[in-house]
Amino acid sequence: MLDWLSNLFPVLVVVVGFWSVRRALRQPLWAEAWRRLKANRLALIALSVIGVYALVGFCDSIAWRNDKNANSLSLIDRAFSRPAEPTYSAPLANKTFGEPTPRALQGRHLLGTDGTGQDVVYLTLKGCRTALIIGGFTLLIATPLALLLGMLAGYFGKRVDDAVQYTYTVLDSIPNILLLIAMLLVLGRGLPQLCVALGITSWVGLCRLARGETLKHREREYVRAARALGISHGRILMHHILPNLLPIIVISVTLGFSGLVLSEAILSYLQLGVAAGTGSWGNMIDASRLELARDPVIWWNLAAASAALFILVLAFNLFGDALRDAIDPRLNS
Amino acid sequence: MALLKVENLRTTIRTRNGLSRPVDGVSFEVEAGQTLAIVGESGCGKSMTALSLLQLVPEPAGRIQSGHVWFEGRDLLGLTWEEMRPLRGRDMAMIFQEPMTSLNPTLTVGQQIIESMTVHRTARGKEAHRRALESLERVGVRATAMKQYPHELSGGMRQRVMIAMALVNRPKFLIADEPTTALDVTVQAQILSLISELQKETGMAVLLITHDLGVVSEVADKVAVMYAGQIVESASARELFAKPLHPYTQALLASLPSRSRRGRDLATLEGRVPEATAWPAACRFEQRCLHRFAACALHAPKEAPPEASHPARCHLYDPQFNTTKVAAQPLVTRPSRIGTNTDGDSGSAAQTGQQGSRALVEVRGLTKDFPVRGSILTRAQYQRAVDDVNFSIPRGRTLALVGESGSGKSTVGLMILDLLDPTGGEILLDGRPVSARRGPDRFALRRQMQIVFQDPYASLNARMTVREMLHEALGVHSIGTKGEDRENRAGALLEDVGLSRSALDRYPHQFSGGQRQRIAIARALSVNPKFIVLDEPTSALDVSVQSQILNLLRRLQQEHDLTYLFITHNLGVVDYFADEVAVMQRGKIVEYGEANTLFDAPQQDYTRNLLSAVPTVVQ
Repeated sequence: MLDWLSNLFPVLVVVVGFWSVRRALRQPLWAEAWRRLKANRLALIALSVIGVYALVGFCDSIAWRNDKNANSLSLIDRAFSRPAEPTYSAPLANKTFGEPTPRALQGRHLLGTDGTGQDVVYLTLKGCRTALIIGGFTLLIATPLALLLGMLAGYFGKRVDDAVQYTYTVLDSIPNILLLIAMLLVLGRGLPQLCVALGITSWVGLCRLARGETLKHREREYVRAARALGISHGRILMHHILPNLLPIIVISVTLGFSGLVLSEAILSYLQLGVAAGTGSWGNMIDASRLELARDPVIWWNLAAASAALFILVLAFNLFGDALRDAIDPRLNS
Repeated sequence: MALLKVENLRTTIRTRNGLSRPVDGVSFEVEAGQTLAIVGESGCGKSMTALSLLQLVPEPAGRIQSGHVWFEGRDLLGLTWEEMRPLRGRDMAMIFQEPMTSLNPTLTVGQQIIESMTVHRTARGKEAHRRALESLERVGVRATAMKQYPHELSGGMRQRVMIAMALVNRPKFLIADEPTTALDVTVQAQILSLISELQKETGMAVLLITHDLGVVSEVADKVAVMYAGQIVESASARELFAKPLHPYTQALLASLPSRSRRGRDLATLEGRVPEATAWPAACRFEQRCLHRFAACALHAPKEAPPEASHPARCHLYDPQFNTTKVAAQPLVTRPSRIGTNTDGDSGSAAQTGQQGSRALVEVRGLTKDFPVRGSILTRAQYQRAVDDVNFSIPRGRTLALVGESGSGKSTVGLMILDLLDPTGGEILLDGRPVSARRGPDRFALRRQMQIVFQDPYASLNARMTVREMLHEALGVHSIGTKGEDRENRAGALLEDVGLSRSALDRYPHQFSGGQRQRIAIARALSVNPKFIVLDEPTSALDVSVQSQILNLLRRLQQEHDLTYLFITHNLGVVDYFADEVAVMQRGKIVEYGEANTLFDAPQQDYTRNLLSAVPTVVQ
């Protein structure tokens, strides 16, 4: 019963995602952007890379248990988990690594195993879901907050603007990492807590942007014409100004995503991130700190996690740049 | 020998929609001391022609394909970038339309003028400084401006600085690309007379690019009319205005609003300039031409000179094609859909009948202060933008509010519509105060008053289809029932403003400027208002489109018994359109009265200055 519910959620996320993209593509702005994006091969490669990561994350979210007492296992667990080896082993080796008397392994591992004998490929794949959740859910918290405050401040000005500006200026003047540590101490460690903490620290940039853009659009004549027709402030904000802000929001969200994935890795490295049991590239990098000091060096753990992180962040940045060019061709020249 | 002789110039630009050919075989010449004006609608290639002369076409998409630009016997198109450099800014100077963006905001005015001398090594050090001062003085800018930054000067001052900069090296040839379009009429008059004076003094030649036929008529010696990348007619200014040959020129001149055309429809030029990527193979003007005949759609017209000094690119003057019609006879173009005189008479009779009735809109002692500076620590200071303004508009009539930019005319319009809170005074609609109303009453008020803005690109939401816009307006005021009824109303509104129902599904960017303005008018009409504020509704449009919109507004006024407040700086339009005129200066109404009386016998110096500054076409 519980399995069924917890699996519904990722399916729902994917369905809603597809549905909104399809709807958006029916509008000329996005249809035109997609047409230009399709011509950009680099953007398509980046998009496919993101798609592969998303697929891995999705598969890792679909889980069920075989019998009542067992832990529930995801598709990734079922496909990629390997029986644990005694300790480290090098990629594709058949013996353990670094022991005076190497023991035989139960099987070969493409990227070797870590200190507890877990397969590195499996661990790296497990990190995907965490990274995507951190990026996605943090933005789900930060974006509405930023838009709400930014648009209200820009549209109504005066006291509202003063209040919002004061809030984000104060928030922005505290070093982010300090704020994160404080919040995680209060909230405790864990994936949801981390999303909330990152969400609270990362809305300021988008809020500023939304405020400035709203300020610009508020003075546009189409908004004045709407007011002359007697259209309410709420409707003007939602139906007239918000659609005009969407392009910059989408761009800033895409580029913000990679920043959040990196933040997670950094926080986990500082042992402030997700709990040790949860698969995460940050945790893998943290674990490999000591491994690098060993002789001969154990590099595969670090390399796998860093490469996974690097490729995802690069893909998001490339895609974000391409999206910006596609939506606003003026920036090309 | 001519100072500048352009032969068969062709410039192309690679665009996403294919190869664009904005300059497609242009030839003209300019003598020293002469002013040649190139006129035409936007999109005809005027500016690109000017840029091609200096080889400043946008790189890398733009390319000058062929032709010759002979300047003092040298072909400029054969020169390299480095060979061209000493000519630019020294022998040939250019001033641009936007004085706001064509000066570097991070350098002082003095630095910029001196730079234009040092790069050409015409002067340096103290000498350069002296000459910079001298040239500023010459264009009427005070010497203290040398140390000022561009943003500290007004638009007119900045344009003068641009001219000073262009002229400091005493060029032989000046290209002025819409030099006064962004400026007020009085400033425009000063700038134009300044250019002519300097021209007389130094004997330089001027190439003036403009769309304002009034300006052309005032300053140009020769005129070349450009359409769709080609020059379709050229002649001396006097000859061109007295006897326009090409149907395009005739249509442009006939579409100018003036008092003699009051009460009648203006001639319109239907359609728009074709895209520069796909010029028609035969006559490029054929589709919009009132005189077209069979041959026009089949053959491209040659430049056919009825007289050598006045060639026109039209089959009408080519004996080979036009044997039946009398060649070389100027066609008399009358308005295409001519409103008969009785029509106009009955209109004015109806208006006189209503004159006794109560005013629909009345404004009493209207005042607005804007805070200039103010924070928690300093006390706010206020600038009075509108100062004790009084007027009233009888039902069904038009009051024009004229004045220079910054005179507070738009602020008055926004306050009447309750889009801006007045500091003081009273606005009455139908005898009831506007500002006193709150809640549902205020909402009902919105239905009675609407506004049409200047810029049809900014006044429509780019992310909404026309259907969404009209349905929203109807829905907010619960006009009609949801669904088919509103759909029919929206369609009828579009037809009322001269668009087809198929426009409903399209987004604003799919329309031309004039069509967008029609949509804005349809949106204003959707709630059946009694009163519409027209805030410079035609200033952003070409003359040919302006006449269409003015005709439309006039027809709607008669059909729907609308009352207009027409805010504008274009006095030609006022003379054609308005019943009464209020002249604003620095927030105050300085003169107010019946249009004809005010134009014939202005009482105030300010009004007289304003009227004399307006360039008019002498036909």
